[in-house]
Amino acid sequence: MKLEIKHQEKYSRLELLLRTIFGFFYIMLPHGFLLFFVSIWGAILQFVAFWIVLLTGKYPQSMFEFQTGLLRWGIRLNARVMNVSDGYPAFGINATDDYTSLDVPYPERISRGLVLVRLFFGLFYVYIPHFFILYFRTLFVFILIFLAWWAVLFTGKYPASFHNWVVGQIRWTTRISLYMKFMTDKYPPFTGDEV
Amino acid sequence: MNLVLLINLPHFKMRKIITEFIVLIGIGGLVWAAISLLINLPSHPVILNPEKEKMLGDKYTEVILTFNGFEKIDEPEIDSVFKVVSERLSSLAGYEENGFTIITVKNEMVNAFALPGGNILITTGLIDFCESSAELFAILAHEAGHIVKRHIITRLIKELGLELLTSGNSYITAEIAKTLLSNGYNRKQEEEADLYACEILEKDNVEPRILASFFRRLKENPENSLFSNFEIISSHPNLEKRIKYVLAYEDENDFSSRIDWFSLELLKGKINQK
Amino acid sequence: MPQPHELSDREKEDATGSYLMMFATTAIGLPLPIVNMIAAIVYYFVNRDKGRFVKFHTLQSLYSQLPVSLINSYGIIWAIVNLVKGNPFTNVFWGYAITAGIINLVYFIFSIIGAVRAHKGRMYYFVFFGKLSYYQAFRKEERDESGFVNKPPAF
Repeated sequence: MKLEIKHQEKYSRLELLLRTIFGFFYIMLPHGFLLFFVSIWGAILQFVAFWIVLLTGKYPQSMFEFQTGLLRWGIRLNARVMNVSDGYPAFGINATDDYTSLDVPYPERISRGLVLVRLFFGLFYVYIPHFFILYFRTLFVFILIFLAWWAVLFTGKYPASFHNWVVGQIRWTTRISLYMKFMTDKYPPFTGDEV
Repeated sequence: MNLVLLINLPHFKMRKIITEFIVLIGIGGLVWAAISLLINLPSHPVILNPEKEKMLGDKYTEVILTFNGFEKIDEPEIDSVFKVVSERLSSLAGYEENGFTIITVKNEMVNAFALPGGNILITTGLIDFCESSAELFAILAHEAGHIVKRHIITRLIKELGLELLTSGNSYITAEIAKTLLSNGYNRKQEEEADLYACEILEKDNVEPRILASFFRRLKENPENSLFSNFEIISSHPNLEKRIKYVLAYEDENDFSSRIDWFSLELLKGKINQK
Repeated sequence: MPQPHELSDREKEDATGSYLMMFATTAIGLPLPIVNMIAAIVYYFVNRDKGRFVKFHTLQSLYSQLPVSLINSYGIIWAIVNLVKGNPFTNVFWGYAITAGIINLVYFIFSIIGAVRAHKGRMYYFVFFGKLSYYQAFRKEERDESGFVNKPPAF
């Protein structure tokens, strides 16, 4: 899968301040409200898709597109919250964004045995190892976001390596989500870089 | 949107669709009626099993006995009399799982309380006030009615919720115990208990309307009805209604004699010795 | 009427999904029968433009879900009112409860059969809801001949 967040040449300082002071109200609240309901529908579809995959080995295409659209929406939102992208995140499952993109290839076949393994043992062989490492990585990324905030405020540029770290964080967690939602059979690698 | 569609359909097709619909509803209704008539399931599903109920009741009894004015009377002769009474009551009521336990407390008020699990609390004031053993038995049968018809448990669950009932917190238990002592039964429940008492008395070959004479005497002795939230004693109009209700009870036999099969005088003597 | 070999895989999957909306309550975790109904309605609105085959199956699933949800909800309300007011659970109530259980079971079985048939691209007609959904999904669209003519404002 390919997740890309554009590293802009110049970051708008005005938008940075706007987001920091009012961001909760004009970004988080509207999106959060809508995402709440859309996520409930996503959970229902997830449940139904689980059984269809278990019984037929194929993820229904429209549900797959819905779930990737939902993930895309989340990434759009997170990119603004973490200050790695400017612009207002678009609403909707099928919306596109100039700054962020997510490409998940549609799997023709999903291994049913692996579905059961994920269901019963996912906690142990996916969540525990990854989240243990991610715990420390997240703390580090928070510090980087904080430092980058000052960097953008004074210079208008986001340091490239910081940007890589933050985008890597989003990429890593998205890969774990994809794996646990039966949308791919590839075990998530322990890295935030593109593979 | 669909009505437009249905109207646009040719007549015979619409008729067929509606016929199928009516057939479906008809089958559903028939199945419901058939099952309702054939089965017989409990009307008050047991949410607490009898052991649990007895445990709860004993716990509350313990707490109540620590309250002011509820000093338990432990007198072997009184206890043996009441043992016989309670066994008879249990067998008449068909309440064999837990059986009734009658506990006497030293209190001048004329009162009796039913507790979950079969414990019945009566006051020495009540024993003094009764003029015949049949009257005392009638009051006990009334309380037994509350227990057998699950009025207490239903009332408690309604007011306090199942969680609280089974929690072990001693403060909550004390509060619940106080609720058990207050008058929470609605009129329907009181009527049911009165009716139950009449049935039990009739089974025992005792004049059922003895309860009415008891109420009448209570009415005439207002000094005993100071606290209007005590169980037996309610406000006057209520007593009137209950007297009328009990008097309207139609019994099968003609009772000419009152059978005193336990000695009220003995009881009165024992408690006044203390 | 589209035949199984003429239908795309996507259409077959969409049609199957509609019968599985009855598990929405289980997915959410709350024991409210209304959730099933809402999920079926939402699924219909999302999928109604995806071809007549899909439209038929989603409609059939939706129409058959409605009475089941209503019957369940009424039963639950009745039970709660009984518990709160201390009313006895009469035999009529138990009869209703058992009948509702049977209806749910029948609905469940037919829905699963419908789901499997839809997955193979075949039509499957429920007793009354089949005809209803068929006539709604497969009717010829009337062209709006009367037509509304836009005019400039009257001065």
